[in-house]
Amino acid sequence: MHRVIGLWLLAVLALALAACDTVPDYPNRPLATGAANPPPADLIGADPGAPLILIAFSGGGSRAAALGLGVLNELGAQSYRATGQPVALIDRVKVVSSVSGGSVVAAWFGLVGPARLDELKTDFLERDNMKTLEWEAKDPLTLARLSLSSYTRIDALRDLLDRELFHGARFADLRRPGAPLLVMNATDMESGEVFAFTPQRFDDLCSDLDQLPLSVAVAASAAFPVALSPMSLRNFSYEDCKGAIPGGGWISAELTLPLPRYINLEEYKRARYANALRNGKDAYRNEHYLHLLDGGLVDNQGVQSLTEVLVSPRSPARILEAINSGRTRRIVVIAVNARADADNGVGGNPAVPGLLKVVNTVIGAPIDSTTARSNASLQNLVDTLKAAGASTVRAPGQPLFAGLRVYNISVDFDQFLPEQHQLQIAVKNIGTSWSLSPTQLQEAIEAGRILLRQHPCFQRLLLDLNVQPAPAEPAIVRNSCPFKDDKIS
Amino acid sequence: MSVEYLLVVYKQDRDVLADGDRVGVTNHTILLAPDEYIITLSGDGYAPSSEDVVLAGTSIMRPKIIVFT
Repeated sequence: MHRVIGLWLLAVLALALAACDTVPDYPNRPLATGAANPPPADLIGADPGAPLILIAFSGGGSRAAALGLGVLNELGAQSYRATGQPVALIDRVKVVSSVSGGSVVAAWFGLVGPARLDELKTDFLERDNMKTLEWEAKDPLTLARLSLSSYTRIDALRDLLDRELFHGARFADLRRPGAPLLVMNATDMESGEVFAFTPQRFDDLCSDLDQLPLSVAVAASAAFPVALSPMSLRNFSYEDCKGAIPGGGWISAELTLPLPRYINLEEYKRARYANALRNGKDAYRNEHYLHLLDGGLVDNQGVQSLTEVLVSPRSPARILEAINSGRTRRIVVIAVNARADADNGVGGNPAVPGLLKVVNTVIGAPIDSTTARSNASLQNLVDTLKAAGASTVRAPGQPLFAGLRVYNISVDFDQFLPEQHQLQIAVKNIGTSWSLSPTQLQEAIEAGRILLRQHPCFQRLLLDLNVQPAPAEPAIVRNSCPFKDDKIS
Repeated sequence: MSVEYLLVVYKQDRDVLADGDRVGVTNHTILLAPDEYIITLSGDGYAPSSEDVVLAGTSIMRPKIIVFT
């Protein structure tokens, strides 16, 4: 009885603390005098036929991280030959965009690459992280820190990630040879915009991204509202910025030309947001402090950032320029969605659903809906690029993107084949948390491998790259993922 | 999202810049997102110094064409 009362008191205290405003220790630092954030190294390479692989990892706690690990494992298992040497597909992953649980595997892959990828299992996914977090939440010391210091609930997740996995690694540590461009996504509470942890975005804040701990970005990307407090950053553009901030031409053009707001409203809004972050002329919001929540609130798959990387002239990945100058002719877009979609029991119950189930729906349904819309937009873009690459034989202006091939691959639990129904049910019923049972971990990883391997456009990629062993029925593979310039057989 | 098509004609091969960012090369049709852009070239000696281009409603067979001299 005393224990129950004690737990209630703890819960009441935690809720009371949660309602308070706390001034945190901001984890980001200003740019040095005259400095800007360095762009990533060249991602494109010298061979236009080499696949350029872009991946988006969705949210979904450890389920999402494990699914992403399975996808990367499959990419590591497939190799093609270039100039006589085997090249693993995982080495051609050049951009990773991620949200929440997907950010755990994305950041880990960005940090250590293929060689140490599986350490994610032993160092994080096999551990009962929820038990650790719950134990810490009940610890009187934690409660004292929450009430007496600047420590907030998101710091507990950040500390866990740092202690178990990232060990103090910072964004500067991502700059290893062959590393992909990592784009972790959160949601800015002030504007409701996607906040991506990129060099450009940190230029907007006049802040040094290299010095930021990876655990801060992963935790921000996974700061599920109410359960966790926002991750807060300080915007030094509102203070005495000493950095040399480049690249404002597009903002000026979007905001001063007469038609952008009519032709491409989304881009206009992005420019308006960047202008506010830069504390520019006529900034429409005060963004002196950034309070970041789970990226899944506005795009649970990170596809908005992936779309920007693909076609924005200002993306540091320079992919649009590479397409237009013929430097890349084979782009692979893999969108990994770890949406669980378990039966919540509402449809089979005659009683009016209780508050908890209503709250779950209020949070979950819009996230699923916006994710579906973002996916449809990406699908549309990829189809347009495919069509552009295939229809240029007699086009005026001799486009150098002629022959561009874009492989659009989605990985989703709804794509299991009928004979894989058991695995499908198993993974769809894995709850969203930071703990998995050994069986669940194995199933989620296996799901990633299977779903990627059997996707028709992944099979088509393997066929086109002459990966051995070749698919048994090349004609069926071509028909299942066709390109307009395929010869009719 | 859709894409638009732009052909920038110039007597030499130059980089094409949209709002200051390199997006392709002259005399070859390029892809861009629908929008209004300030188009310039790398280097100097061309005229006009920039073109305000509205990219909407183009197609691969009917790109927007602008000419620098």
